[in-house]
Amino acid sequence: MELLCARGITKYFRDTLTLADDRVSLSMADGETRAVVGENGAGKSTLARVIAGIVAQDSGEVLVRGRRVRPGSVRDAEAAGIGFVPQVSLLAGSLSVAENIVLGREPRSIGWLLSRRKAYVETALLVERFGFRLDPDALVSSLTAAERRQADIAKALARGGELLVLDEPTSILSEAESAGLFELLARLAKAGKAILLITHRLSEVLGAADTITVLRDGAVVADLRAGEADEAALSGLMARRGSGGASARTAVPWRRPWGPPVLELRGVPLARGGRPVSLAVHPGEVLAVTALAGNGLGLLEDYASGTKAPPAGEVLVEGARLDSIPRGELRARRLGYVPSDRERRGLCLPASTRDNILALRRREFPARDWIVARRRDEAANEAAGRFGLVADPRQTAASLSGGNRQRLLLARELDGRHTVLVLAEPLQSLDRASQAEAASLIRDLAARGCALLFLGSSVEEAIGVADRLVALYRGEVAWEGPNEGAPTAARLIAAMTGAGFPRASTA
Amino acid sequence: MSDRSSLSLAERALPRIAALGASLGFAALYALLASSDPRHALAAFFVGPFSSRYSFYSLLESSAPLLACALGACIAFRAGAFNLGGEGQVSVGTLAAALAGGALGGMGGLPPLAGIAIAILAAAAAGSALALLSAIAWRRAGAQVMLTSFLFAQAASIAVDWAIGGPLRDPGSNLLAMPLIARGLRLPLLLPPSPLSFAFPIALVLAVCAVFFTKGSRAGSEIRLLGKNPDFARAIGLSPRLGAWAMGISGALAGVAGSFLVLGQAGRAIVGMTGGVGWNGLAVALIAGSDGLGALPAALFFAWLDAGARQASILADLSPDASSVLKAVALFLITAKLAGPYRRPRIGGGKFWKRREAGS
Amino acid sequence: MSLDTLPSLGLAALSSAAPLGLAAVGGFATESAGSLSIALEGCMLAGAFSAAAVGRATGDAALGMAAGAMAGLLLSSLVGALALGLGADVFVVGLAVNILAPGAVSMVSQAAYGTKGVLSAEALRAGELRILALLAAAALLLAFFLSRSVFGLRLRVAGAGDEVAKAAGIASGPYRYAAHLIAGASSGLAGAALAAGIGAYVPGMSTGRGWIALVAVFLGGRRPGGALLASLLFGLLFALANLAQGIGFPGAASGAELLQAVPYAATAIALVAWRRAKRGREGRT
Repeated sequence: MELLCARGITKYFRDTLTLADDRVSLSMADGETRAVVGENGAGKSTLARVIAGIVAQDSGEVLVRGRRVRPGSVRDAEAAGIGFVPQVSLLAGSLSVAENIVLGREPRSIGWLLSRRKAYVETALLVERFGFRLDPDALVSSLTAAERRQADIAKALARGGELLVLDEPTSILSEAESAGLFELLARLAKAGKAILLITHRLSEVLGAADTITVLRDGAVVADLRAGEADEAALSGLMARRGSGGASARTAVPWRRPWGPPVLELRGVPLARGGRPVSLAVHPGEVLAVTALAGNGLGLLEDYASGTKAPPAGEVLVEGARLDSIPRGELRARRLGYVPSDRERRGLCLPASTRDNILALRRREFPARDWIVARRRDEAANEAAGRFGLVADPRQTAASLSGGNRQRLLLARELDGRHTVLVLAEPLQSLDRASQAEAASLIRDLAARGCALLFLGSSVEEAIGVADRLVALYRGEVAWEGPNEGAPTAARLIAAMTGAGFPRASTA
Repeated sequence: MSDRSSLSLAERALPRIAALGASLGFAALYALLASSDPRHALAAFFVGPFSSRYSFYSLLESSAPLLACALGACIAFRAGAFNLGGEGQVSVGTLAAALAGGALGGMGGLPPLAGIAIAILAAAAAGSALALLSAIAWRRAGAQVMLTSFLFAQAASIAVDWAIGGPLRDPGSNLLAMPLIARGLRLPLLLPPSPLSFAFPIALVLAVCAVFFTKGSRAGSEIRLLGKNPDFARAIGLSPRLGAWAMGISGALAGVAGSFLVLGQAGRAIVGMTGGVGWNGLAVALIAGSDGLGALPAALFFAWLDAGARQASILADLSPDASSVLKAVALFLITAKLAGPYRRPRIGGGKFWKRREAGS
Repeated sequence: MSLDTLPSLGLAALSSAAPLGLAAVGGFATESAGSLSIALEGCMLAGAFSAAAVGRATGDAALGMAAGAMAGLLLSSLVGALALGLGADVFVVGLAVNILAPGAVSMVSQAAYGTKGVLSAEALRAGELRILALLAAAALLLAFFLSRSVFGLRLRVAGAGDEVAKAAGIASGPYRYAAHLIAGASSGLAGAALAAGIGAYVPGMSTGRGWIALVAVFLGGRRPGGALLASLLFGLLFALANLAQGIGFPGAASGAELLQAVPYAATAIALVAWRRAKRGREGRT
């Protein structure tokens, strides 16, 4: 009898209007290591959460040794032997490793007292058995990322898990640490555990997995044995075919940029243990940097926008160090920034649409306009109208739909007042037509001399706007070059997933 | 909840009026249950403060320092800072006003109101400085304003009381107080013999200015953005010193409240004269909401509770401390989200009070 | 100052520190569970009054102490119910309780005894040392319990965030509520001890000790033992201040009151310095 059988799993998220999983099925035998791969948004994480009981599927079922697991019940999934290792550790930082592992079935000494000894012993045995490198008494908050990952796995196994589901386990690990993790997984597999590995890092997958499921846009497009495909084939299967959307660009003549770079990063490290990155964006060009989640794009966004100061290297805007420019002046005139974390950094949700859209233009209005808001309302309407945003200026930003919130953000930042623009996932939440409009606007701004840094995980979007492209993998530049349309897309995807990345010596 | 960022006046006022009304209901209940002569007690409580000119003006006068403190607390809240140091900031304000009043009293030839103005400004500066200590601690070290404002203010309060009752004490008086300030340097009475002084109109002016500031100025709008989402404020490029400005203003207003106490009816700085006005001001601000519009009505309400309870204790047999209880009730009602007892709580497990949900 | 003032200094420090410590550990429980109660001051005052009232009425010190704990428990159950059950802001509710307590105590005192002033309860005095020992033991036991028991462990999980708690299968609500009850009972008992110390209830006798207990909680960091140590420090500082006053240093009579400000100022400075050092270590982001 199969260990796991997931049949026809479908999950639709109403609030983001996405069909995350569309009748996905997969099965696993004891001791099998299966990888589920796909681009961001392909539905892998949702599938993992359904199997682990964290999210209840809309239809379909999960069977463990023929027994149906109750949807959305973590308890039931655990009882059935499924252990989940989330991408972001959910261990309590202020507790020790042993305490976290025994939570919920704590061993007692007298009455209510926790038996630390028994907890220690239990944990030590677990550590011993599977070759973890963990100190049971260490505080979780003091562990390194790799150790925390091990602790997550230990906790998932502690309840007698037969099947271990890992969601992007290496996203926070350096290359050497990932190698260590895969050694651990190999040991676990040898001990008879089944492993379901969610990842987008193909290079890792091919070494570790017995079988591979490829997801694209929520559906299974391939179910292979490890030997049947190589990285190129896999990335080809993963890539979304471009259809409509951002204007399909073929070969684009690489325009000679005008003048010296207006935004530069010099020697900035984007990942622990990774080579520092240097980038330059010139006036009139769109430089797109693509990477999958966890590969350094977030830090690049933080450093380029001036939100955080890099621990090494420097960031220059128009030749001057970014941190030497007063922030108000920077944001009002020099550097535009569309954050990827729209709700936290991009918008003030409880504030009005008007206040959000005019946030950079505060000093344009004399005192009078703050008492009687009519002129500001008009200015807000005008700015909004240019981007197709129809909203009452007094309406809260929170009451706007995702698409409208994005339009609001773009309306604020893309009005041509800045010399440099840092755009992180600027097309998120927009429908196809709006995405095309926005892409076209980005091209216009470049034509007018603006320098744009486009950051995102979607190769399709990047190809639609960029003059030059860079792919990041593990915080390092994995590929860069001019935009030549479809062939560039393929090279980007391969680079983003680690193809050809020099591998640390593993067996 | 409405979509509009500025809820209409009615929408915002309604829950507050309801809470205050409910606490008045409790007051009535208390009068009915606890008094041997409920009718007299009710009359004394609700109508008493308005029954004579003197008591009405007293009520207004007592609301002035409370209002000033409350405005200060509102502005700090608006910027996202919990200024718990109101008591201490009022305290240093009293000391500064008393010192200024004492020093200037020796000097002749000052235009009449200038001296008073200087004393008030001195008080504002003192309160502001104390509050700014916390702001600096936050900027330089990331120490929470909630903690440092409280600690600094407690230390300051004790130090001020020591100074007033010790080295600065008036040797000729039985009170633990500083010498009386010259008449010309005290706030003139508006309608003698009632204690209503210039403090009340000044407080009103401050209230109007505060509302103008919060709702009708660029800085006020920026402060609100800062308070609602500091990450956003940073990303937009708002000045990092904005929070410090807010704390400074907050402390200044508390200091002014202190000057009202000293330059008003008392005419001198007395040990312990702050009498909880800082905490009451905080409570008023919590009820009024951060834009300061509700500060005047809420402050008057609190003053009414105090006056009513006092009247009811003199004319009937209720306790004057009932006002504290009623204030607490108002606070409870305001903060408890009474949109239904089974509403999912914000803090704590969602299932504690609800029936068990199906599922995990 | 001679050598034999030292033991009495130590005793004074301990009797100051014990109620603080107990209240602080109670407050720690709520902080640890993620729902910090600032109502310790109010609970303490209510505890002091109830102990005096019951001690007077029954002539039994033990009953008086129990009544004190009970009063604190009731007040804090109100805090818990409002904050956890009705989603009220735990901070505002705590503040309201601190405003409520003195007024309510006054009212009850007036109604029952016809006075708002000092309420003598000599019966409470019986066994001053025993009460001190009781409090110290209670504080130590509670600290031990919170750090070593399964309950304490789960409290910390509740405080680690709703997501983490859910992932661990712990329902945070009941644990947080229990933490509030513990804080209330501790503070109430501490207040009762204050009354027992002088054999009377004096209006406002908590004199901000509840707030100091909170400061001790913060200073103590993530460990109940830390809060206890901080309380000891405060106790010592206060005892020293009293000693200085008693001895009569020149100007000490006035100086002693000023010394009362030292714990607060010292704490604030220490807090800032510590945060600054911490920030230096982590690197400014």
